[in-house]
Amino acid sequence: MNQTIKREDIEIKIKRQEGPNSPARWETFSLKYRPGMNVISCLMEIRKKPQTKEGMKTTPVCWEQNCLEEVCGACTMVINGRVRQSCTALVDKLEHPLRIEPMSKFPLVRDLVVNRSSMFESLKKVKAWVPVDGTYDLGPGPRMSPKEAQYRYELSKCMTCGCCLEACPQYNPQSAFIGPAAISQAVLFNAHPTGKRNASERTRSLMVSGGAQDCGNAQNCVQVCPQNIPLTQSIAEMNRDITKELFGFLKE
Amino acid sequence: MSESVAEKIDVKHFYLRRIHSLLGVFPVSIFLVEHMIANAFILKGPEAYNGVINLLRSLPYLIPIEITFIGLPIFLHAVYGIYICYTSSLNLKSYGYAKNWFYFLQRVSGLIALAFIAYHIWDFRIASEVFHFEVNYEAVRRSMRVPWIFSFYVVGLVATMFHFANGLWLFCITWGITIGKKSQRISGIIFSVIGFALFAMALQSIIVVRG
Ligand code: HEM
Ligand code: SF4
Repeated sequence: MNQTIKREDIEIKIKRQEGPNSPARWETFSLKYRPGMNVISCLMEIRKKPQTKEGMKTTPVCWEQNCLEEVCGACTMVINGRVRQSCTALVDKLEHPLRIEPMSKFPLVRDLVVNRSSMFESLKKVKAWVPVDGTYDLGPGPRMSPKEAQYRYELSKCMTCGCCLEACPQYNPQSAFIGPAAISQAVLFNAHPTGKRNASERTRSLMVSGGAQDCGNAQNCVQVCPQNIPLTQSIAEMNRDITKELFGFLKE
Repeated sequence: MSESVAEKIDVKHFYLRRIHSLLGVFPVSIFLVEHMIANAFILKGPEAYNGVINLLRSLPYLIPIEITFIGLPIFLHAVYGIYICYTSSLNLKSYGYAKNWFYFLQRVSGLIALAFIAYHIWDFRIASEVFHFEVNYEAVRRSMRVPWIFSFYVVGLVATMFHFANGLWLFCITWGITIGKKSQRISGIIFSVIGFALFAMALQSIIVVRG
């Protein structure tokens, strides 16, 4: 299979917006093809000479990037209608002309830059950490079995990129749903040998409006998660913990 | 104070969603199965079928039973179901995965089922009380012989049975019974078989009654 067909020009349509309250517009750019290009290198090329296909001068496109190897999540955007990291979106493997938009579920900052701080707020809501602060050294914690470690490792790969929220039909302005990422992180810390002690607090934080119950099982999250995190399994796992919490009164 | 009130509303919403899920199965799905079995007496002829109808209608406390175990649960499930539809959005064009289609169809089938059930309850339960006629084999036959009513029943049954089968699949996830991919796949197969079987039963009944 020869994917690297020589192309004369690449056409890229980019959704532009100066700021949160400015109107959005589409601009088309035309670039010389080079082998091995990804969407980020296209954006860099445009930055060198910000000029539309029609020859109109324009501003350089704003975007975020960091690791360039799909582990930081900073360069997440919607490419050809599908959310993904732009660093691993290879020009040779995409349908042309390219259509690039910012994620739609987060407040827009400018062009392809969005503000994902709501994801951090969600992590705080579910207490996605192990509280070990104290006045004296507690010594080493309990050990983890390799099986537990393997399971937790998969969940720990979340990079807060936002793909799962962008693709989730239950994550929208009419709904308070917290989304798959934070639920999975609560499961991650509930499965920690020391974090377990606060499991009930985390579980209860998801028994509210917008909690785990608002998942509608469209299961797009597992399809788009670049880290292949078993998000639907995490949600169902949390649902089971919530059911147990719900029937906790029977123990009394 | 404002925070504690907000928190209470917050928590209430969680309970409402879980109650919605529970009502979908107990009693609504259970009643649906019972109802299809009762209808299947059509296959045994007019006498047997009328006998079942008369038996059910002669139950003591009929009205309270109908309201508590059938009417109110469907009504509450439907009201909250409509609210769930409002909190949903669609992105099938970008993410056309099978499960995303099921998510969409669960909502659409719920709305179709609501229209169907409303008409059905009017036609075979309330209208007979208002206009004082008897619901029996003959009355069902008369209705089912009207082409548009029969077609509406087929559409309504497809929607209801899909909603029922996929709903049981969802229920198992909502309550944390099926967690992993494999168990969800297996429950999917089991509920598909149950759904198709119940649909076939219902279809046979309304075809046979036409005579
Ligand atoms: C024959 C009558 C019905 C039966 C047997 C039934 C059964 C169920 C079941 C078992 C569920 C799964 C609960 C869960 O998600 O945990 C469900 C979900 C649902 N039902 Fe119904 N239902 C019926 C009628 C309706 C009606 C009239 C509506 C009105 C719109 C409706 C709307 C919904 C919605 C929106 C869900 C989806 C919940 C989700 O996926 O998050 N249902 N139903
Ligand atoms: S769970 Fe996956 S898709 Fe969601 S934020 Fe984390 S890495 Fe991204």
